[in-house]
Formats: sequence, structure tokens, C-alpha cells
Amino acid sequence: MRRTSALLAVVLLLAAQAGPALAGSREVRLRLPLRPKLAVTGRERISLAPFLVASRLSERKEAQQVKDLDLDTEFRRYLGKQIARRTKMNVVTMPADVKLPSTELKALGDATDFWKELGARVGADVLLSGIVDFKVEDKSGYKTEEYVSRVDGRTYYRQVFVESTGFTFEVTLVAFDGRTGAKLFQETFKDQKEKNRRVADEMVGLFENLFSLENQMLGLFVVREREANRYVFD
Amino acid sequence: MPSSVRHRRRALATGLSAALVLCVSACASSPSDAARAAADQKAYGARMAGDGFWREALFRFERAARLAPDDPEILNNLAVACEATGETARALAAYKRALELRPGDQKIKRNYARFAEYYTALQRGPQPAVPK
Repeated sequence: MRRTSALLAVVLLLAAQAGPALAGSREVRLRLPLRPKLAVTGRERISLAPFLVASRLSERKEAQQVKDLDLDTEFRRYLGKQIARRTKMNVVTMPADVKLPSTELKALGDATDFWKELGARVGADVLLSGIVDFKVEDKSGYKTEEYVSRVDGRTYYRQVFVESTGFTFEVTLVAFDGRTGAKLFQETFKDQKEKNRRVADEMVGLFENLFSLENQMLGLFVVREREANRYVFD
Repeated sequence: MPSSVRHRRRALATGLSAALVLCVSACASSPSDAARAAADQKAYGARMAGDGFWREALFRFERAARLAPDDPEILNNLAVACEATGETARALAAYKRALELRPGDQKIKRNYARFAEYYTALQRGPQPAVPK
């Protein structure tokens, strides 16, 4: 009995001394600001010039629905709306008669005089252009699936045919200084989505891609926040 | 009173008094008041950080760091709070000091690695809108 009591006392003592050492840690979430990639004040006048459409430049065969889609117009309308809504920039309308001086992205980047002239004409501080591409692919195929037999309750694998459509959207955005015509920035954004049926709507697929890229693209102009996890000790 | 009961009571009394003596000695050798206060501030700050009150957490970790300037856990917490409130240069210094004091700590190392990635991206900065 005496020995038990002494043991209890020792355990109590050890617990009291080990207390600080046993203090744990916890994972906390913080929001970190990310600066815009382009050093803008946020109040510039911006205008969206035409974009090259990759599928029109290549020999690639497209489905009729994709051919009917005016990718340049749809993309510019969407991006212009997002910039106007989510930034303080002033979106200036681009005249409909503006034609790009080249069908090559590199040449577009070097066409300083064209961008300077266009900037003066529309009165924009920043001009956006680039190249857009949208692909719809049949991704149907056999996939391995696990199933439990109702007869013997065991797990088996079987091959099943899954009908799906893949949507890939890629855009290279190039920003130009409207006063000097110099290229300021170029970045490519890409998004891929797969829909679990063969006949999925192209327009819906395109906008799902665009929604996914929205924050990244706007990150060129506005401060964004990114979530991060860290450990703090209790 | 039967002798077995008396014997058991005496044993219990002896055990308890031994425990008391040991506890008193433990208290005597436990961290000082400052260290205990620092630990309290650290724990409170960690709770505030968990709830997202980063200004309050930073205030608590600063107080804790004044009381125990060489505690790597407090310095780590201070660095995290500095990071959350945008004081990145201070966060960098605090992480470095914490790692100097406890180089093998996986959690501090992981925090520092993640911070370094963010800090580097931040330092690269935006491209000038008007080229020089």
C-alpha cells in the first residue's frame, strides 16, 4: 500500500514537470495577400483588343458546334465583364474595325507601333490581347471499376465503358502599354475539365473552364488572397 | 478500530504526504513566473490565432516573446502572426531565430518552408506597368 502511494506521487510529479513539454500544437489557417502581377494602380483605362483563335490558325478539325462558337468575342466579353465588376479599372470599348497586324503571337508582341497607335485611338492605358484555344474531345473509354458480388459478397473488378467529354481551354494573355506600345506582360492560363457524358454542351464547358481561370486571370490586375496553413504551439 | 484499517490509513497518509512533498519540490523547480506568464500568453495567442483574430494573437505572442525571448515555440508563433498581419520581414527574422534555437523541429521547419515560398513570390514583385 505504501509502495502504491509513493508510485502515485512520482507519477504526479512527472506529470507536473512534463506539462510544458507535452504542450501541443495546432494547425491554423491564414489568408495571405498576393500582389497583382502587373504593377497597376488599379484605376487605369483598359481595353481588350481582338485575340487570335488557335483553331482558326491550325488545320485542326473541329466539331460543328465548336466552329460556330465565336471564341474571341465570347472570351473578351467575359473577361471585360469580370474586370469591370471585380476591379476598379475602367474598361474602354474597343472599336469593332480593329484588326490585328499579325496572326503570330510573337509578332504581335513586337508590334509596338500598332499598340501605341491603338492605345492613343481608344484612350487606354493598358491593352490586352493574346491567343485563345478551346478544344472539345471525346474522352470515352473503358475504365476499371470495383464491385461487390451479390452472390458471394466478394469484391471483383470489371471493365465498364464510360462516356465522357473533355474540355480544354487555354489562353495566353499579353498586356501592352497603351502609351508606348511596349509589351508589359505575357502569361498562359490553362484549364481542363471532363464531363461524364459524351454529348456535353460546348458553351457550358467553355464557361466552366473560364470560371476556373477567373481568379488567376484577375490576379494580373488586383490583389488576391491565398489561404495557407501554419502550425502554432499552444 | 481494527489494526488493519489503522495500518491502511497510516499508509495512505504517508503516501499523500510524500506526494505533497514531491509536488512542492516540483513547484520549486518549475519555470519561473515570467516563463509561466509567457506560456499563458502563448496559449492564449494560439487560441486567438485559431479563431482568426491575428492582431490579438500577435499582441499576445509579442508579450510572450518579451518574457521568454529565446523560446523557439513562441518565436514560431510570433512569425506566423507577423506573416498573417503582413509583417513579412519580421516573420522571416523570427522564423530564422526559432530554427536557430530548435533546428530539428519539423513543424517550425515546415512553417518556414511554406513561408519562404510565399515570401519569395512576394519579393519577386509585380512587373512594372510602365517599363523604364
